[in-house]
Amino acid sequence: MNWQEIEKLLDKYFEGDTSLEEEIRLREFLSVEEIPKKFQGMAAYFSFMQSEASRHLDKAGFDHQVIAGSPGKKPAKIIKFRQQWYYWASGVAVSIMILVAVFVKFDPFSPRIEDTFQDPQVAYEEAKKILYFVAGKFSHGTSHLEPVTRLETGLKRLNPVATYDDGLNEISRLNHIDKASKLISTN
Amino acid sequence: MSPEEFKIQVLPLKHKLYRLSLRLLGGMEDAEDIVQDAMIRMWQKKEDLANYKNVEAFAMVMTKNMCLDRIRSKSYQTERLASTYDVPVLRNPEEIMVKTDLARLIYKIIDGLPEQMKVIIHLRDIEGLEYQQIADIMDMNINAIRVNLSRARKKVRDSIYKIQDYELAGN
Repeated sequence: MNWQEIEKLLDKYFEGDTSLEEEIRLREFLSVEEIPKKFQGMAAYFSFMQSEASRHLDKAGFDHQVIAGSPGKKPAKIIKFRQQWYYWASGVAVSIMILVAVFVKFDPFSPRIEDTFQDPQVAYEEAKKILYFVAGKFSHGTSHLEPVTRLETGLKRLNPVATYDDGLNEISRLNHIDKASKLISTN
Repeated sequence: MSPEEFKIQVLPLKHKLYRLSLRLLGGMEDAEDIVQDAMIRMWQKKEDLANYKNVEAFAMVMTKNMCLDRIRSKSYQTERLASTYDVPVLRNPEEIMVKTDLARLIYKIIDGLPEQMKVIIHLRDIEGLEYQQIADIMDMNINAIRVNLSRARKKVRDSIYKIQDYELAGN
């Protein structure tokens, strides 16, 4: 076969019309030492494909692992994030429901109030004493809040700022002039 | 299928399945994992394998689909930074430089093809399968296989010619 014939065969090859036998012949012709530059690229392609065909899986113990059915690295079952989220949420929801049910039924944390007073009058006096004590503490606490009232006087001084807003409204009328001038310019 | 038959008929397919996985996935470890998974699945249902007309085609389809699933998985897409070409052993050390560079280029050209074309060109030009066998594996008709094969080969040819012209131009 001469180079002209090889070229023809290559054209047939690119069209997907060559038989396996023709392809083998083509590969053999292109594996000779002296190849015209024109065919060197395709010669490299055929030689690459042939070297790829000789690749082998050389993993030690592969057959044994297949037959034993215990792969060294079993692919982890992929649980999608969304599924995981549902698992967690439903778990948490159920736990909360059980806890609520238990608390409603048995109510273990509410303090049990027992009346230690025999005489209502004594109880009243005691309660009054405690309330006075709390009220005293409370009024003492509010005295520290006096400086807050000064803030209010300060705010009053800021009132004139509101007039600035009115001024802005006035200026906004200028927009009409702007619109009008645009209309004039487009017409 | 008996365990003995499996060892004779199915296990030797591992090299072919490995090459196909390697073509699709790029990484040797990934390819080995897929082939191992595929083989284990077939071993587990070896009793049913006898019902298949063509066990080899069945194994190839299974491996191809597992590879495509892997490619589409999110974890794979984040893991895979760039496909690498592991250079096969060359006999003549002086040729290594030139051949390796060319081989890398050709590898990249084929790797850049769309998945379907990549598988078809692999099955024909590396595995040397008949059109009908390829059609069975791809679940396409022979005509579609020829058209896709022709397109794939022309794409490869054009890229190779581009490199060749660049080299002939004196670079």
